[in-house]
Amino acid sequence: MYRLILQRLASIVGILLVVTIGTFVLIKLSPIDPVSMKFNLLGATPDPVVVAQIREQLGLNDPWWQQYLRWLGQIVQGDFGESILYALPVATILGGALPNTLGLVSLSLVIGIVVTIPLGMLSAKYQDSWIDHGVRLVTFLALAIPGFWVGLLLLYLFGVKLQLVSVTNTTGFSAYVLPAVTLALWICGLYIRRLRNAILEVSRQPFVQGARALGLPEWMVYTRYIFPHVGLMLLPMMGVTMGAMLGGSAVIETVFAIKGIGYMMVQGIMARDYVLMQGYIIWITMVFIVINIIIDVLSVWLNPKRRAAIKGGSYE
Amino acid sequence: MSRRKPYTLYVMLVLSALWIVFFLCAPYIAPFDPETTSVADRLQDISSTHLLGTDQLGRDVWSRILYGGKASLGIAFTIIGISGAIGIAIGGLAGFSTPHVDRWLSRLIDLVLGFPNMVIAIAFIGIMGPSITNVIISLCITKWAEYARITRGLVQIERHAEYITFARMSGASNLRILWRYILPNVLPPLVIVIIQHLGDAIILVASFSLIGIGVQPPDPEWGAILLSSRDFLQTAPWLLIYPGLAIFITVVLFNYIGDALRDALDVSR
Repeated sequence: MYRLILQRLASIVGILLVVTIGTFVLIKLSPIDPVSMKFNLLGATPDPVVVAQIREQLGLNDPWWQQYLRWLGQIVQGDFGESILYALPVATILGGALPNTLGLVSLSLVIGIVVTIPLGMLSAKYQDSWIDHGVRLVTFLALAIPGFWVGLLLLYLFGVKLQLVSVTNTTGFSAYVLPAVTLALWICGLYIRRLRNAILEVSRQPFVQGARALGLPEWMVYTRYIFPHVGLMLLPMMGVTMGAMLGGSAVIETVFAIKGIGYMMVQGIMARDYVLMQGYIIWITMVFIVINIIIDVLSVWLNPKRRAAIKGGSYE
Repeated sequence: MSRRKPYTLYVMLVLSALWIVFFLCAPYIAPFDPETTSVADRLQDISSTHLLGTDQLGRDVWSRILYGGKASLGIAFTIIGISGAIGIAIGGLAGFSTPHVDRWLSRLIDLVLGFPNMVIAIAFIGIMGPSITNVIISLCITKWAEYARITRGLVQIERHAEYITFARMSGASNLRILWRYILPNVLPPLVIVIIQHLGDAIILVASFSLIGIGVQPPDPEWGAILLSSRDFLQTAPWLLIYPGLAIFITVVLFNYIGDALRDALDVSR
């Protein structure tokens, strides 16, 4: 088990190298000139002599690999540079914003799971009945409706028509409910149908029919026989979903003006603040990798077969 | 699915064809120029002159939705077309070539699939600057890998089929076998996946425009029209409702056709 975790942690180094090189190359290719950027933001006309001086100071005239290694060295030490837009260390900005994003994503996951499980179970239990068709229609529509539009409609309905929430309030728990519901709707669209199909598939297995033949109560068949298998079937998909959610939360955060890391990134893009963008890319990659490692380890740890295989020394 | 003919599918196919043609004809139908501003007409409610009202710059929303549809559909088709072509080419190569090449290409495909596509797209647009071209490139960077993986799997099944052996015995070259024999067989399931992704592409592009990093003002696009709606929720709800409805209807049409075609051809998964 520890070996698996160590292996996954080692893969972080590789992925981080790919991501930093990719980011670095893109920035070198892009039309951004960091120095004149800074001047534009201050509203000053850059003096060519001063620009040349600053370029020399920042080491922008060094060979590209020296620049890359210096930057990489700073990142490893946790120094992500100073944001051009906010004139604050990027680590401070993103560190303050990350809890907002994680809070939003977790709240929507909780809402999504709480809605998905009963609906998926109902849909599977009453297969091909009107309930099943109704639930399938809802999931179909949930996937076809743009999330940001749902968000804006909710804001209009609860903020303007019913006056239940404040349109301008962006802090506190109540500000997170509407965006979380918006993201949760998408999770439901993705997972209700998958859960239904997984339950139907597992229910056909002999061990479930055996459990039913023994006369076990239905709740026991579900909790002891069906759900452990269904969970293991759906867990690996969660990694991809979490990645999409981190990206999607940037849109939802911007619509609801929640100051998460996606919101900060969009502000950074508007101001062409490349230091902030670099920081966002690396941070979100790290978050994504950590989530995926947790899911990987969980899906081995929760699966007795694979756990035994690792203990027995025959890894994978 | 059942034996009976999928009439609903035919109806939906005709409807979506009409829907697409309708927006392509935007320049002939639109009553106003989508970019002409008029301060006197700003934020007007729905009327017989302005069917869906006007926005904060006095531009006709109905005309902007028509032109915006042309842009939205065009961008989505371009993204799916380019990434589909690249994906099918690379996937076909991986599935049909030697195990060595296949191993490296598969590794590349897995690597790209491992990254969250929306995050990559936001990062790319952020650094290269917001524009239509960059939105298209940013989504193609990751999207092709999905088609490559599916194509590779399909080609690997087909390449061992008997008709391929016969083709080879009759002296057909590798390229001819790929193009004339394998491609027609793997294309139907791929087309279905591509149709299913069209709706996603429209939503993605619109969401980029909505947060200001996609299609830039004053160009009309469904997400770009929605961009200003948040500031005028109280005074001009029509700015919010109709562009969103246009996206919703389009995605419902495409997703329905994708699902129904899959059921009709009985392609598994």
